[in-house]
Amino acid sequence: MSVEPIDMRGRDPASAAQMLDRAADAAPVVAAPPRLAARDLFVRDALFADDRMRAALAASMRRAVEAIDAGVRGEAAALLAAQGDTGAVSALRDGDGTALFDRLLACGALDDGPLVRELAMRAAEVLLAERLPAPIDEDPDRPALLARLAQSHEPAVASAARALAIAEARRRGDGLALAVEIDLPDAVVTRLAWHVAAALRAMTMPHGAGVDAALATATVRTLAARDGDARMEAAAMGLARAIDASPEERAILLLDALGDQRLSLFCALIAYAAELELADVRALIVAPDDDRLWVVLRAIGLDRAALARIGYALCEADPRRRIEDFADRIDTIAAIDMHGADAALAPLRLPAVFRDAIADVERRAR
Amino acid sequence: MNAIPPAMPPSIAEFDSAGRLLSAGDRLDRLNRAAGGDVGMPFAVPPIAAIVGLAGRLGIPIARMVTVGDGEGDAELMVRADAVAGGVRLSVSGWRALHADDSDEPPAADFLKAEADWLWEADAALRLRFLSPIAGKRHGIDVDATIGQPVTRLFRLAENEGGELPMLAALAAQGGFTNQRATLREGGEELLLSASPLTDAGGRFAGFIGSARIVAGLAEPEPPAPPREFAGALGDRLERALRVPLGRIIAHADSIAAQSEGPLRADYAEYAGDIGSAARHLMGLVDDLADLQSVEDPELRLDIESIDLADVARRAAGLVAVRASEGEVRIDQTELAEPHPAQGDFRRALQVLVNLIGNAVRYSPSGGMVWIRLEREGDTVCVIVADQGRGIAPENHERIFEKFERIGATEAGGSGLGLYISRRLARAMGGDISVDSAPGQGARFVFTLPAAG
Repeated sequence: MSVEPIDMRGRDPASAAQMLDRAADAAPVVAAPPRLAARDLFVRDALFADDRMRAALAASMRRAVEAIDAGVRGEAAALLAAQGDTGAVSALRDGDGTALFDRLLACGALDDGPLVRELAMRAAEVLLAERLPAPIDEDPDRPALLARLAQSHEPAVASAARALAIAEARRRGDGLALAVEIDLPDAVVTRLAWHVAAALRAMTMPHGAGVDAALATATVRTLAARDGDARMEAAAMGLARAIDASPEERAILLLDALGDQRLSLFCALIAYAAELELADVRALIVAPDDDRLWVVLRAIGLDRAALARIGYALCEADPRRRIEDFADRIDTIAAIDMHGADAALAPLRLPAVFRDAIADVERRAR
Repeated sequence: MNAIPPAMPPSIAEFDSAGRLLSAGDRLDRLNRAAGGDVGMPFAVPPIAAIVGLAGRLGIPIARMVTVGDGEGDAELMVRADAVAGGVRLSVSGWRALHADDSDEPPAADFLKAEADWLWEADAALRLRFLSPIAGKRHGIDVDATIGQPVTRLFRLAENEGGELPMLAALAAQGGFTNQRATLREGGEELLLSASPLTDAGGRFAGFIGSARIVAGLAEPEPPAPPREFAGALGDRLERALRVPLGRIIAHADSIAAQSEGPLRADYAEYAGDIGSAARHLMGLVDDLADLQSVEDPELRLDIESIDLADVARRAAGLVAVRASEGEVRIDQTELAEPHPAQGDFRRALQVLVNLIGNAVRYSPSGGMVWIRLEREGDTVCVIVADQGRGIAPENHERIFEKFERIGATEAGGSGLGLYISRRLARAMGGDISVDSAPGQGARFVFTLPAAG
């Protein structure tokens, strides 16, 4: 399947002022990838996601379900064992994880917009990060950024850097062990967890009275037991906060983060400096053609050289971005007025739920 | 390990602000003229001209690996362009003719993972970037304190018989390594480390992705075998002469099929996919022939140790999982939870089970199931791989284990060597493979090894 090339030439060769105006008028919600039904991820001819993306999404969907499954099942089995319901315990223990996943898929429980969007964003971020080019002029003996930060003299920075490294390692997993961390935002995990519980319930039918209650308690406990701070995104923001970069330091840190392929840290540094949500910055990075990225980067004071290096790195990493077109536009981008850019970001600083609601209302009004 | 080839000084060229060549060192000048270019024009090799143009317009240094035709063959160049006053300065180094490398082949990444107890990853400065979470739990490693540290803070490396440290030799050669003996500084567990090199998008060495295997129970290390003279049909050089070009075909075909340089017409991307599959198929045949040779070698060396066949079976199933899901075949591994210790060579046992499970998947109907079961009978441990395929008639039960035999219609023809090699390996380890099947009743292959302890 082919990827539609983004034709920049179709737009006006915009002046900097025009870019700002467009950014201010743009839909308040940062563009999300097209709605992906989970079932489509497993269909060979999905048209809107390439193979690597599909594979990455499918894998992370399975791992998310696996992690919740393991948590709820274990907790429920323990409760039922204490009640002496050995029949239900073995039904739970013997239940096939793959069949559970298939059942959730078939009934549409995984066709959850926010869930798929979150996993799609993560998959896109990982695939992009893998392809970021190594920095030129790098001293091969100098440790990469996160390794250096982990050894920083400032204890807050050092521990935040290590926390991010660990969170990234956990998120990646290594394919050797079952996923055990439930690493999803609250907005997304709750619905999924209750569906897993319902699927487990179906697997243990027919059953005695205590099973439903045990499953409910197990689910509540599993949801409560998650360590919110372990999530990679929170760790990245924590590190950006701890570093608290000055405007002069920003450019170097951003370029070092790209060079170390730490895209989450890159996004967090931008989000912190621009006072935006990390998820929104991530969406701007992952989209191949959203000009608001450049508005944001100008708003935090990056100069032409830094913008050029960032643009080049992103173009090398994302085949949908055209380096020739970027080179055509770099002067326009560098000419965007910093203060105007900051003002243009005001809509993005509204709470995300408000923006979603605005988009809904406007869509229906048309 | 090989000595690093002597570094050639870079070849320099200067361009004006419009990208026209002002002057060029000898090698670049020859390259340019051979492509029909001259001073006063843009560089005649398009990827290099593109790099010059980008550096000029963006005003930043640009570096990329570029493959160009150079005389009779191809050369891989490291091309770097810097914007300078009045134009662009080009520096080209690493002029490397693309030949076969004659270092030991490092383990392919998949097999590396399958053989590992846990994984680690280091950057080019040998700082730890990643440790499997399970490593922390199993060995009590403080993962928190270890990330970002040099790997030598975690591992105490041991020299091999030649007085070398394989990991450091690999670092210098920017290649992979196998079987670096090491102990954990915290806790003293003995490990065997192996790794494949990581390269960045520009093709430069970017560190290692490595595996660690726990060594407990391994017999005293024997001195490494002297290099063998291959009298077999597939000599060392011939094998490499086949592998290297096939590897390149696969890499390029995959990259085209993935449209990594930009969008393509759909049928071209598909053709590239076909080319990649065919090349992989050929690579599989080369693997089989190499295996055949080593298996028939009277000096076949096996590392017999205590292994858990349940663990090996799970890993083998994992390696076959992608093929299985493409054919919509399920692999039932529910009975592989309990350890079943046996005596055997881990790598070879894995190879046998990948062969048996892979066959079962290949011959299963779409939507079918493959079962893997373990049994202990007296002082033998059995792995049973059962499928729902069309079955094998009793008169063929011995034939299938013979060299180059294939029963029935040849789908994408394999080499007919898989079962022959597997049974030889099984017998060399003190076990065997047998089959129980009848037409229309699927097949059960039973792989046995002596029990441990």
